[in-house]
Amino acid sequence: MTSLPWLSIVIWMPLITGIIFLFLHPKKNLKARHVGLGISLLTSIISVILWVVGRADASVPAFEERFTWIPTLGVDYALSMDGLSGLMVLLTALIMPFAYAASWKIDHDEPRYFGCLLVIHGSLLGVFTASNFFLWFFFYEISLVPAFFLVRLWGSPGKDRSSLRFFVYSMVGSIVLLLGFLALASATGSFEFAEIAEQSQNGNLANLIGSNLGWFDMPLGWLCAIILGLIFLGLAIKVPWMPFHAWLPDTYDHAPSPVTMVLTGLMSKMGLYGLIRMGLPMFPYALPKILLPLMLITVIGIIYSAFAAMGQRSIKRMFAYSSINHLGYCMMGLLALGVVTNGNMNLAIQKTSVLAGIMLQMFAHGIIASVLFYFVGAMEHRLGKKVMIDEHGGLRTVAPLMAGTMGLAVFASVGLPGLNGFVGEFLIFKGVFGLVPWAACIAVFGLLITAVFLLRFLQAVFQGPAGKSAATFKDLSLLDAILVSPFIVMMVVLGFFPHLLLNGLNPVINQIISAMHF
Amino acid sequence: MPAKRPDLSRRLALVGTLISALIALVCAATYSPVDGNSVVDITKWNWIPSLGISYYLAADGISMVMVALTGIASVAAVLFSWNIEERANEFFGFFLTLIGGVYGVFISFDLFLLFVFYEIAIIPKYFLIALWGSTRKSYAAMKLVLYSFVGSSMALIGIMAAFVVSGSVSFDLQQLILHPYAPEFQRWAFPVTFIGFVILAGLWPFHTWAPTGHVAAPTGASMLLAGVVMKLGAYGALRVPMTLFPMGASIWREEIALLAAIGIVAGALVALVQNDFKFIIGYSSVSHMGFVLLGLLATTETGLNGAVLQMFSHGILAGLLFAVVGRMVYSRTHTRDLSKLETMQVGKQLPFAATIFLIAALASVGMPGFSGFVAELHVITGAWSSYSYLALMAGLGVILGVAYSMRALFTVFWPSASAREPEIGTPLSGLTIQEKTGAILLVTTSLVIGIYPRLLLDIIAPSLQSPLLKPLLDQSSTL
Repeated sequence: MTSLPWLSIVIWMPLITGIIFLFLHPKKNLKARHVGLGISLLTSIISVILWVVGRADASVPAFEERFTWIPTLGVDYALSMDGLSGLMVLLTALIMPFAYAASWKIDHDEPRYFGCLLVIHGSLLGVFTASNFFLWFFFYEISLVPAFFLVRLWGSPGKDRSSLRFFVYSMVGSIVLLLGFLALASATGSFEFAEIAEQSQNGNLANLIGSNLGWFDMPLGWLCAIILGLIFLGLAIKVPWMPFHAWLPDTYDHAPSPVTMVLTGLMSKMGLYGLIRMGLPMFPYALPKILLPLMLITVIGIIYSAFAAMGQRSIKRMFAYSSINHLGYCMMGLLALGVVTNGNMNLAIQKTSVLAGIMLQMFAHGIIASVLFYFVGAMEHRLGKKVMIDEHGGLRTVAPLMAGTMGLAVFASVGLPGLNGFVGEFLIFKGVFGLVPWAACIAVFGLLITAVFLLRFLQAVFQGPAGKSAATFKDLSLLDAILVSPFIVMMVVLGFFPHLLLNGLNPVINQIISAMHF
Repeated sequence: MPAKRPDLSRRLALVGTLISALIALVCAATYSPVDGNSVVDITKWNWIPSLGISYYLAADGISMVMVALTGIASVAAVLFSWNIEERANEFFGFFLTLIGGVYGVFISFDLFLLFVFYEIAIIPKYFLIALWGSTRKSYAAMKLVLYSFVGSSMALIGIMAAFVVSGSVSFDLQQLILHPYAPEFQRWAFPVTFIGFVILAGLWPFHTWAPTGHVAAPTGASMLLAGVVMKLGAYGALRVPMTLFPMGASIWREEIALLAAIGIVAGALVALVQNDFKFIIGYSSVSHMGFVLLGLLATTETGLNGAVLQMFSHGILAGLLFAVVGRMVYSRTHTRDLSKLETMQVGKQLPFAATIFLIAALASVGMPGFSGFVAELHVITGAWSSYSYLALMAGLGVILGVAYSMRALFTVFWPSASAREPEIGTPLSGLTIQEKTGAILLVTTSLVIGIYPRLLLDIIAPSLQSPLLKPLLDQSSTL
């Protein structure tokens, strides 16, 4: 059993099924969605088992596969799952069937819709387990096409422009990233993440860049900065990092809610994951010089997006800006990793704290944001139109369960201690305070504003006198409750017992931080 | 063939191209270097012994890749020319002559013979465009042919010079390479010969014949011209000046590489502002050929692998794009104007065409899974190690490619609902079986190579180690 290529199985099973679904005629395949759900669930169950097995010995990458693919580029078909990959595989396993089930009542062309979801499921797993850039990029790009169609064909009015914007921004980001990484690959002769990280650890990376890349006599530091800039920019568009975030609010707004769940819960994590795998090795050589402006922009983005969220009427857009805000903390942490430590143990400990926080926050935000957008979708469904913050009130009296569970999810998003949103944020702030204190001080205001607009949302929609919509507003159905409860439970459990995740992550965190010796 | 029976002509043409294609593919599949020599002889007769000219056909890995491309592209082109009614016998006559000449160039290892086939390929082009073409066909045909003649004359000068300097012994390439050409000689011989060949490959700024010519040509001809005939220039450039004059190559390569990179960006920029659907594809061909040339001029193994791969990939994809624009859309809508097409609901009426164009557009901007991605990756990686700033320009070209492709795709096939009130004109007829077959053939080829590029790379790589090309690669590694 252990010799089966499990990672390939979980990737290609949904991918190929999804592609087949894309060619199915809508009217003749009414059972297709059931088959698709089965495949999605099966993939997820296997993925969870893989995660559990993997964390038994978290210091060694598990389920490695390697086949020669394109020798002329030195590219193999290589997959593996270390602690970080395992975390993301787990997240994918949780969110994808959730989004699939949330889409059950989609109104037209169902096989193609579910086909798109399945292709995204498979390609996400591919992105998170690829050992080299070629394969990473392969799955990354493949995920774009179905995402585009999901917004364009099943979205709400305004989808034409948003979907095109989303696609173009993403493609431009991909190409910029490709350019940057190809420079690295050309210099080191390898596309493998592990090999490039090793060269970075030896201090060799800069020399390789200098000797192997043909440039005029440009100072090495500039060349490294350009390469890091390309990689950073390319991935930053995906996270998204302000000011390259413009595609997100419209896209999240016009996408059907289940698609937004996938976009925010999983696809945004591709960008952060990429930055950890690809950006960090370059940090020692280029980041220290440009750290200040980048950190400044990040912190401004955190505050700006929080204010922007506060100003939204549409709660879908509010949560969209809130996502930008939350991921901004992760970006702040990531940039803080670029601070020069020179062997100072204390600072190295702060960095481990930051990286742990980023990973936990990636997971926590994935779960919380998906649940929140699920609820938004549920509300839209009941109200038959977009949910505006000022049009409803007192829904608590007619839908106490929803008020309670959504409230809990909102508090998790605020970062209430005891819920999983707190741990990640706390660790990030703790570390950043030690590394770039001024950034942490300013960013704290972002937390404050977040608390304000989220609580205001709860108050306006659930509390207070009953608005006109309260009369016909139904509470959570059994299906809703079944779908949502595991996540609610997770929010509490992981809030109290973060080590359930951290135990599997610590080895890889230590590995990454000790590789950044500068 | 009787002019009144177009169906006979087209069937015979299909049979002919299919047989050649099958032979080509079988040969490519079974090709392997003999005794460590990557050049495999096919036939050799003495032709004009006093001038050292022989009828010498041989193939190495790169030839085999190009032959395979010609096979597949020619079958597809015939399928997409199924609707030619007027003087079909002459059309297919010229068509098959062109294909014959192209095959000949790819497997000639006697340079005189190569030149003869090169010229044989030019004449049919004129007639195909002038008689069966559209926009400004006489002008376009004449321009294309004149540029081709000028280019081939320059190439001939180089070939003759090599022949004379090496002692007027033989035109056999493998003999010619044995002579050490003086650096001063190579300094002028290389640019003359190289530019001569790559005029036909669309090097900027000598490329203007290409969009005009390809737009004016009938669909099947455009597919061949942009898909295969432009590759004759690049192939010739690799076979002759880069092989014979490697020192000259290392002297001139940076300047010419800059022209190639400018072509990538300029072609894309011009494509972005076109209002004629076919011109968009025409200029995108110039842009994509820039990648081939950039890969060639990087003169590293990765770059050359990329160049040959891109020749194959673009050959297939350009054919596909012209097929959609010319045969699927234009022959039904009788307009190529984007603003008119926007109102005709082409996407709704021709969903197969829309899907194929989407796939072709994605493949040509380098979506992983298709051949263009692997080729582009090789070229850009190669460029980074030779001229980093040109790699950045190439990346810009890719971004612009996304822009003009998406613009074309969405304006023609999926205009936004708010664009304008759709006029319901006469409904567009559905796609024929020939069109669907041709499209699927081309898409599948690109997909197969995209997923398993070793099918081609395994044949190309050993040829790069042959005595023909090794001096070139050694030159660049000593820099």
